[in-house]
Amino acid sequence: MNRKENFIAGFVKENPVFGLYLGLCSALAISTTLDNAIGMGLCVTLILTASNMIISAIRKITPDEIRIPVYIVVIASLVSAVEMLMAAFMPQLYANLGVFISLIVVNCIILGRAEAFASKNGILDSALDGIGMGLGYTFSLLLISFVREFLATASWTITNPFNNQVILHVGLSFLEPFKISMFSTSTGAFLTFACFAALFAVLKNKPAKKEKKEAK
Amino acid sequence: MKKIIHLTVFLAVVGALSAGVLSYVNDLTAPIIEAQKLAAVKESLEVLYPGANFSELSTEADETGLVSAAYKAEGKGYIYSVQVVGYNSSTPIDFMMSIDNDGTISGYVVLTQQETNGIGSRVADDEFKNTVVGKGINDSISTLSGATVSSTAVVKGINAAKALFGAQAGVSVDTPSDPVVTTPVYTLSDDYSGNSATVVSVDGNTYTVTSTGFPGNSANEYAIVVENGAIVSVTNTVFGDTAGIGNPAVSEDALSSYVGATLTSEVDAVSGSTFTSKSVFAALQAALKNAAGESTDADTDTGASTDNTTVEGDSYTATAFGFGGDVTVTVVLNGSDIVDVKVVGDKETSGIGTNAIDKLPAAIVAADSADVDVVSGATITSTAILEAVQEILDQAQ
Amino acid sequence: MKFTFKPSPNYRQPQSTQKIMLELTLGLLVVFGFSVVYYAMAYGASYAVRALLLMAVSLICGVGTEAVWCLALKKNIKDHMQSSFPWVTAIILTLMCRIDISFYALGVSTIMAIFFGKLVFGGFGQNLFNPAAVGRAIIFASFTGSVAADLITSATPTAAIAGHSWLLAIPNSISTVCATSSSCSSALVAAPTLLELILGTYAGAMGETSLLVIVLVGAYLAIREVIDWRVPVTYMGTLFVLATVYGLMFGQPLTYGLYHLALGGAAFGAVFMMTDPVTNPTSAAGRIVFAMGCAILTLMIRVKANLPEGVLYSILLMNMMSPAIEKLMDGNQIKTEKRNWKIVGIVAVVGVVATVLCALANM
Repeated sequence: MNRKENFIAGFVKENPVFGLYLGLCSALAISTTLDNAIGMGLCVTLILTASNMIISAIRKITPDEIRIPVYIVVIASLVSAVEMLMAAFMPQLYANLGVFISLIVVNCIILGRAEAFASKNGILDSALDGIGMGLGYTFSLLLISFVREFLATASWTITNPFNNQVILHVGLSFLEPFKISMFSTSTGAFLTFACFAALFAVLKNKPAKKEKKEAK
Repeated sequence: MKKIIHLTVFLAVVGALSAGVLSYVNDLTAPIIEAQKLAAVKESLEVLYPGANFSELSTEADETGLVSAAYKAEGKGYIYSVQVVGYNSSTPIDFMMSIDNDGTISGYVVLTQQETNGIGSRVADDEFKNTVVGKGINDSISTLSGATVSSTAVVKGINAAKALFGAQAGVSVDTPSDPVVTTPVYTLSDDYSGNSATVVSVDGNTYTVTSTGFPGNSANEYAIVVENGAIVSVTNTVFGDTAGIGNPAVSEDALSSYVGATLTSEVDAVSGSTFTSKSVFAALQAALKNAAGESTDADTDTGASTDNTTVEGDSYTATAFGFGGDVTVTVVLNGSDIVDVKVVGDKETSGIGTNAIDKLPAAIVAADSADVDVVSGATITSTAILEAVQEILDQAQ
Repeated sequence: MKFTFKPSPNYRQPQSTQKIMLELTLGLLVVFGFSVVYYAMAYGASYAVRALLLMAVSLICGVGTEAVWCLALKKNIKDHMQSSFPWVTAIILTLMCRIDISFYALGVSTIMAIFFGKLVFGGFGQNLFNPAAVGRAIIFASFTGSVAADLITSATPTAAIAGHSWLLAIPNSISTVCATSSSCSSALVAAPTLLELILGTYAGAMGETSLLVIVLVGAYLAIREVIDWRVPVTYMGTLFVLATVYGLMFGQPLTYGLYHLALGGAAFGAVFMMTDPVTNPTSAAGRIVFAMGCAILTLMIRVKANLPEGVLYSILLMNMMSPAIEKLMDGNQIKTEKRNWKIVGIVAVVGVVATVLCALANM
């Protein structure tokens, strides 16, 4: 497919979280608030793009037998570097995301895209694929956390990760007594994820169904 | 062969490059991270003592290991950072508390906790904070009803901080009683009137004494040999207490530990068999007193009340298990009329159980019986008090 | 000649699913009726009205959810309702709750229970978990604080004895049971005695209080072959035996086992939830193993885990194991009888060993 289709595919058709079911553990655990979702999503996008580009750059000289260890070294170094930078410049976000930043190393999306795409395509294509997939991941995290934060706290808050200032706070205080606290835990995460996955499956199958109908 | 060398070299080169990049980034960011940590700590310290000069102290003197950091605020007080494990065993409750130089707890803030929402998380709410802030160094802090595990852990941490404060500020701090039942220190001269120890017979140096342990159980009987005001031997001849619970207190090992005890000795109760242990102590006391020629009639003991108002009549004491610990009730009877009731229950929840302790005595005297309504919201403590009063009335008949 | 090809065995039961569900509903309503009468007499008419309103809210939400589902999938609502019985789930869920639960919590939980517990699995007959149990678990996970103020604010006897490590301190007197962690009922001066626990004259979950009423209704339903008698009998028997074993290790009176049966949702769960034919195994031996597993888990959760109620989670856990149990006990039931009894024996031994280990760990 061409570059544009590939890029858009990362959002719905090949959405890593709802379509390919990759990177679920961090997606479910992080998406408690919008802040966390944005922060994590941007981290993953950054690392994914960078790793895709680097791996694509060395793809011609990497021996086939050790490609996996090489990819992992690259990804792990990137994650460690990003982690240190976050700890220095975005301490609040770093504290919120905690151990999940380190877990990006084993996030299936990164290794999966490296193996499936970056090792076989040019740097620019890989970069776009990385950005597309990363944004798709961020998009899905935003969806989940939008629902979860609202149901669990009856408000939405976005803060600037650099200086901890609240950029946006929408609080529906009249809905406070109706909070469902289960959605701030993993149970709610699974339920929300399941609903969205079902929705995306419907969306994915719509064009196929349409084609079937027209073919009849 | 060449292939393997090629692979190894490639991997090594990639590793070296990564290491190089990482060490560069580390050099760049490490000082910033350090500075931030200090700033973060200073920020939370400022919450408790704004604008003070802080210096860090060592926490070596803390035996419990719960206090992770100690700071001194010049001229104001001390701040302690404490971590305790509450209900959630994977994430500790992290809180800071400040103690003024005069020993008053002036601040309490929970930094992180992952306790059960709405239950254990109440240790971070104002509800609990208000029972901590303002207390003196020797005041006890009650646990939260309905959030026992979390609040017990926090109170333990507060006690550890208090102890460390004592060591660092040179103030003497009473060993705070842990909210969980730990074996308190007993001596043989304590008041055991609730155990109704009676010397049944004396045969030379051997005293046969009965005493009760857990309220409602039959009496235990002991054969105690006393010589020169000290215990020579104790044997348990009849066991009437709760089987499976009280037995350890009358085991050979336990009883042999009291050999050589005198009226002023400290004795250890057997953990988990407190009531039966107390029955043993009561019996030992009765034997020692009888040997010394004192009266051991349990009925004329003045009970746990320190009030000096003299009232006409006989005074009886009974204990019952209230909410957080024992509740000791002293009833003064004139014939069959209840003349006075005093209740001591320092482990009852402040503001809840203490309501019952304040209100019930008057109601019982007015009604001249234990058939009184419980104080709403303090049912456990009320029931305990009424039970104790009823027990006394039954015994006195 | 007319040849009839149908899957064998061609066996017709006198009871149709509709009839079974109707009688089950009536049995549940009897238990609910007792509860309403008790609240009216002990606490006043406003409490009884609240109980009725709670039931109404749950029914409306449950039936409403299924109606919306039908509309979305363009099914005939009437036909669907007649074969889906959402009201049974709603009634059971209401009966599992305390009277001071908020209407919102009950409504939302019913909707989620029916939707996530039943409809997404494929509707009636396809669900893996008992939907009412799912609903109660949701309430426990989300709405513990969502209670109406100024009603009965005390803990149930179950929560009280749970705070006392599930031990009765004084033989034959339950007064210390409630006198430790939270008060029992604010209207009763003394805590419930064993007799009161059996009769159900105390404030607990609305439908779970009266052992006597539930046993009577259960017996009637078993005689009418609405429920399989093996499940409640095995469950209560196993729970009684294991509780007695546990109690003996702690010097409790011999009636200790009865306390376990009378407290909490043991009897209610046994009669109305474990007997749900959709979520328990089909074979008789399978059901016996299922019930025994529930009993073992109930006791272990009660005495070992820091949870106030073990029946709910034991039902959900055993629901998970039902397909495995069914596969294990599958086959020609007459031929596999010996093997089935062996399995029952193994489960029994495991249960006793587990109880003893729990007791030793708690000492």
